[in-house]
Amino acid sequence: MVNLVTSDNESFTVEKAVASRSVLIKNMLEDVGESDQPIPLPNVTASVLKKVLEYCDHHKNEPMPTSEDLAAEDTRKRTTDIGEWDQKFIQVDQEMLFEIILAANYLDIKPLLDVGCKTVANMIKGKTPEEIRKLFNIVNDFTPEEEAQIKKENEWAEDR
Amino acid sequence: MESNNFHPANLDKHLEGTSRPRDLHLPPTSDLPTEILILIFHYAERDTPAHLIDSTLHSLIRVSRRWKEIIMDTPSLWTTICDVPHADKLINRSGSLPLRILRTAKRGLGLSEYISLVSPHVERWDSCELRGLGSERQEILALLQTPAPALESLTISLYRGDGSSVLDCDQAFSSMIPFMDATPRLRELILNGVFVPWDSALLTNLTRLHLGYVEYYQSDLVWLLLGALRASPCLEYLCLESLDVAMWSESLNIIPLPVQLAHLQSLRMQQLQWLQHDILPYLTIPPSSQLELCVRVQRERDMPHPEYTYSPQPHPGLQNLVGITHLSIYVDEEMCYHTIGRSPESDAPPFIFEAQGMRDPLTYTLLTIQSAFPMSFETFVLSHINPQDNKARVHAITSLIEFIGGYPLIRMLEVDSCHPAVTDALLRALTSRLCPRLEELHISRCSIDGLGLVELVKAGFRADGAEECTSPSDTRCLRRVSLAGCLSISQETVSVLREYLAVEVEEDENIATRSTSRGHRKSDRWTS
Repeated sequence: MVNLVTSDNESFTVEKAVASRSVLIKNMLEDVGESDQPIPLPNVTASVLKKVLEYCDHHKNEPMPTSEDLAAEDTRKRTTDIGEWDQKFIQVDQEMLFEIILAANYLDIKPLLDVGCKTVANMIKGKTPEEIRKLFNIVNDFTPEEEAQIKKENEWAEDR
Repeated sequence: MESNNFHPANLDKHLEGTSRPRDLHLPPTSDLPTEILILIFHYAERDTPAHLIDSTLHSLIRVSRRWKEIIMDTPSLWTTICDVPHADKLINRSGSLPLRILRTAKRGLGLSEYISLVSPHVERWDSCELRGLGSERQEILALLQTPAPALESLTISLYRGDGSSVLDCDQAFSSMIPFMDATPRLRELILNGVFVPWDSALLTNLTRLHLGYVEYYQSDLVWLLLGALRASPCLEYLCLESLDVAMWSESLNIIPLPVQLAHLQSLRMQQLQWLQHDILPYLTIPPSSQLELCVRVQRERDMPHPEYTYSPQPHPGLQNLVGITHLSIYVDEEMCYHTIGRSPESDAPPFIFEAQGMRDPLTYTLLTIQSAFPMSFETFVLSHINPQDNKARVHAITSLIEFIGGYPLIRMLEVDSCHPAVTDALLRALTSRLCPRLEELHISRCSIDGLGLVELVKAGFRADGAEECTSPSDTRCLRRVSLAGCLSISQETVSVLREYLAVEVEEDENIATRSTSRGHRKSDRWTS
């Protein structure tokens, strides 16, 4: 078993197979060898880690992507398909969605990072800039002149 | 594999309702590192029609300064180069990365103009997909006469003005091989209406190969094709479509050698007619592979019957047929006969056979399957078998009875929405010991003869041997009959049947739902 301690000082004891879905934790375990020492995760809160561990537990028996797999993977050939279980898993509030993405990035859990990014990408598709800003609470920091300039520079790519 | 039934609109609504109020906190996307935003943008351009990728990116550029900077500074987002008027701008933004070349022939840039823009970068092409008119064939090939050292995937598909495919012919070969045969990294090749010589280097070390719409005058076609397949031993996907032999002549001194395709996942043969039976005997494909055949037979000589010119031999190398335990034949709205073989080991059916276009596709299907594709299924389903005219019906019924007689291991037979003549003939045949191991009979939405059914049940075989049952108390092989939507069967008949075995009677509405869920069309033609 592995003991993980979150930024808000909560402790989680999980199977090694579950914790090792994180390449970061897997490497740490390999470096320190057999030890009862808790592993601190200063960038992850308890509520987020709970969610991440739920994902890791569900996928614990799947083969890990090898470095060759990741290197050979052409981003242009990836699809935006998300598995049925993953779709339900990722139906969380927007704040949690982005926290999961950040945690997956920090913990180096590539498949979870992909699920999060695909979910955001699916939300973006087909929306106007204003709709995207509204959805993600992004401030429009362009001046009207800059907006006009961008539109002019890229008018060849206007919606067809 | 899990399916994707994601509905972004539902999730949007859910997330919009749960997002933090504006201005109370920093927007969450501002916390995301640049590399994650890039990944999101890559996924956002995925599944977008190629010619709309740049306008999608343009929309994202206009969201905020940060998004604009990231997108403009990420060449990998700009590597799909379509035949749009501003293709040159896309090339500039792609830096020096590998390019996906895609000519749709619909986006306004002429062929030579487009090729002249993209060909100076040919050493960066890793994928090239060109669509065009048959009349542009020579021009396309002439423009592709430099080596493409990074090319991994090549598609050339030629069409007529009306969108139908156009045939090439090996006699008209102009000696212009795309990229002068210099594509050392090519792994995927799709050619429709474009002939390349069988010894071309393009046809080596492939993992995916699709050859379509070529008419061959060369002799020894099968020998040449098998030779080409042997040059790609790691082939995972093979599709041969509408390859036609103009003059059949084979050298007597050349015997084709078998080809082992140990990695093959999918083998498709479409509209090859009898040519498929000249190729398949020499192929060995693994148990996990899927074989899909689609035939449109228009000529009498294509019928696999001793009366005609051709009768296929069994294809022993099709290892995917070994595990098939369930065979179904159904007819769709377009009168196409679909035969599907399933095995308990795989979700995808290992065998699909589609026949359409002749007077008697059922006879064609049954004769072909029985003679060429050895299977020992235990479950057999017939759905919507309705031969159109009397002559075809007589032929079809005779063939069907002969066919079933060839599979004595059938334990479950299901007949759904078939012509009364088909069900009557089946009942008569079953009564004469055609399927001695039959345990279950399911009849849905058919008009059947009640007396015939009672006779069949009475004449059942004992479960403990071949001896015929003599009394209702004998333990029978046939243990269960289900009737759904069969209005011609009276309550009295059901009562008589129940003296011998278990009988289920289902309402018509229920079976309409059940049948639709199986993917068959909904019909109660034979129940009224």
